[in-house]
Order: sequence, then C-alpha cells, then structure tokens
Amino acid sequence: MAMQSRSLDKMERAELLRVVQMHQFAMQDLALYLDTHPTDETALEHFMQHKALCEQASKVFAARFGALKMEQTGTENGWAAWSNTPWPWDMEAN
Amino acid sequence: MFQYEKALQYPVKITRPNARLAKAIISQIGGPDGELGASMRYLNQRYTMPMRELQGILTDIGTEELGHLEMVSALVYQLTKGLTPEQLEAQGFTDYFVDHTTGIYPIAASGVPFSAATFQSTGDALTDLHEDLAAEQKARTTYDNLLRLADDPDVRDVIRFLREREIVHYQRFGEGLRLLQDQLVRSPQPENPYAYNTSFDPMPRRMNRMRNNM
Repeated sequence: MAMQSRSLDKMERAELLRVVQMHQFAMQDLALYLDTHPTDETALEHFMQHKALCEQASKVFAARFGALKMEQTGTENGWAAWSNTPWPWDMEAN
Repeated sequence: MFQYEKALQYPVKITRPNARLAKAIISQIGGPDGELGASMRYLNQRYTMPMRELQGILTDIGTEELGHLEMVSALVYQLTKGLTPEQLEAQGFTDYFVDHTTGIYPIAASGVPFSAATFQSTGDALTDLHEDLAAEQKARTTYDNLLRLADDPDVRDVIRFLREREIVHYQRFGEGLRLLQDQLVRSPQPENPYAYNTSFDPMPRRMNRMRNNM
C-alpha cells in the first residue's frame, strides 16, 4: 500500500484520474450485481477492495489537483479547489 | 439526495470537432431511447417497486444513466466546440444553431424535443421491468446505429463503452424480473402472474419477500 501511495504521488493528473475512475467503475458494476446477488461474498470482497483503492486514489487526487467531491474541499486551497478546476465535460479535465 | 462527483464515468476526449456527428449523437440525450429518458424512467419507477432489491437496482442504474447523460452531453459539447458559423452550416448544424447556438438541449436526432411520453411508470412492477428490459435493448440499437455512422476512434470508444453498459443493465433487469417472478409463484394463484399488481395490491403473507403496502 505504501509503495502504491508513492506512485500515486508521482502520477500525472490524467493518469491518476484514470486510477480513480477505474476503481469507481469496478465499484459501480459490482454494486449493480450485488443488488440482485446480495449474498455473494466474493463480489462483496471485490467491491471492498476497489472501494479502498478508490478512496486512496481519490484522496491523493483531491490533494494534488482539486476536489472530486464537495466534501473533499478543504480550507487550505479555498473554494477554488472545487469550482475553479476543470469541469468534467471539458477536454482538459479528461 | 444526490451528490455530484466531479469526473465522468468514462473519459471523453474528442480532438476532431464534427457537428454532423454531434447532431446524430444528441439523440442519446433527448431522443426516444436516450439517457435522459432512461434515468427518468428508472428513478421514477423505483418508488412503487415491491422489493428492496428492485428499488436498489432501479436507483443504482438510474443514477448511472445520469452519468451517461453527462457523458453524451460532453460528447456533443466537444464535437461542436470551436467551430465557426460557416463550419457549423457546412456540417448541417444550422437548424440547431439558430435556436440553441452550441448549447446542450435535449432533442432527438430528428429535432423533436425530449418528451416524458417516451417512457412509462405504470405502478406495476411486472410491467415496468418489462419496459426496462426493452428500453436497454432500444438504447443498445441506437448505439449500434451510431457506431455505423461514426468513424472517429475517440467517439467510437465512448459509444462502445455506453453500448456495453446497456447490455449489463439488461442482464441486471433480467435478474430483477426473476426475483419478482420467484415471489409470484408463491402467490395463492401461481398459475396467474397477473392476479396481483405487486406494486399496489396487499400481498399475501406467504410472499415473504414482498413489501406490504397495507
């Protein structure tokens, strides 16, 4: 985990965003499956693994490039960390 | 409540503007089988679903469809960005341009504005789930048609992702329908699946997984 934290710190913005999106997508897909298979423990285990990795990457992303969720907006960077970073429909946000 | 996540579900990065293609793709915003209708269909149907699992699947798929609406909107936005009025005219965009410039407005490829008449919420779980299965296939067909029209690999990549999600949603709704049918065979009239509107009629106790509306 520590090694991955270091590499997250060195990633370019787009690469780090891909890590967040990848784990988030895995969570979304597993969530739909779990809705109709709520007792599948293997699926739940996969969900929890991606959730942990997603939270880790999202936290690093928010600290380095601005909040992905409003709750990640801290006082140190001001409100601009939420409202004045690229919005998702802009090409440069992707 | 809904909270916004400041990232697309899947990246959209279009380097070659193409207003003609945007005008076809816009159908998946405001067309009869588009993402706006999909999200509204599921998020409206979920309230009267008779099982927790069905409420869950409609909430989670409905929420994902809002994310798809944003992705398709990003496609149309980027495909029309930076073009001159002359280029927009040459690419067949004049009739949209005169009313909306390059703003995002929910219409079908034919120009017909979005209508709630494109979807149903019948208050009958069995009927709604059948509509949902059909809706996923209709959206899959639309994405297949867009793949026949689009040759830009950046656009095709996004359309392929969205098309694949329709197939996954179809699978999940199929499982939802099976969960409901497993309860219907426990009804006092198992030979008649239409004896009860499971979203409306009081459910016999033996249908133990159903929420009782009484």
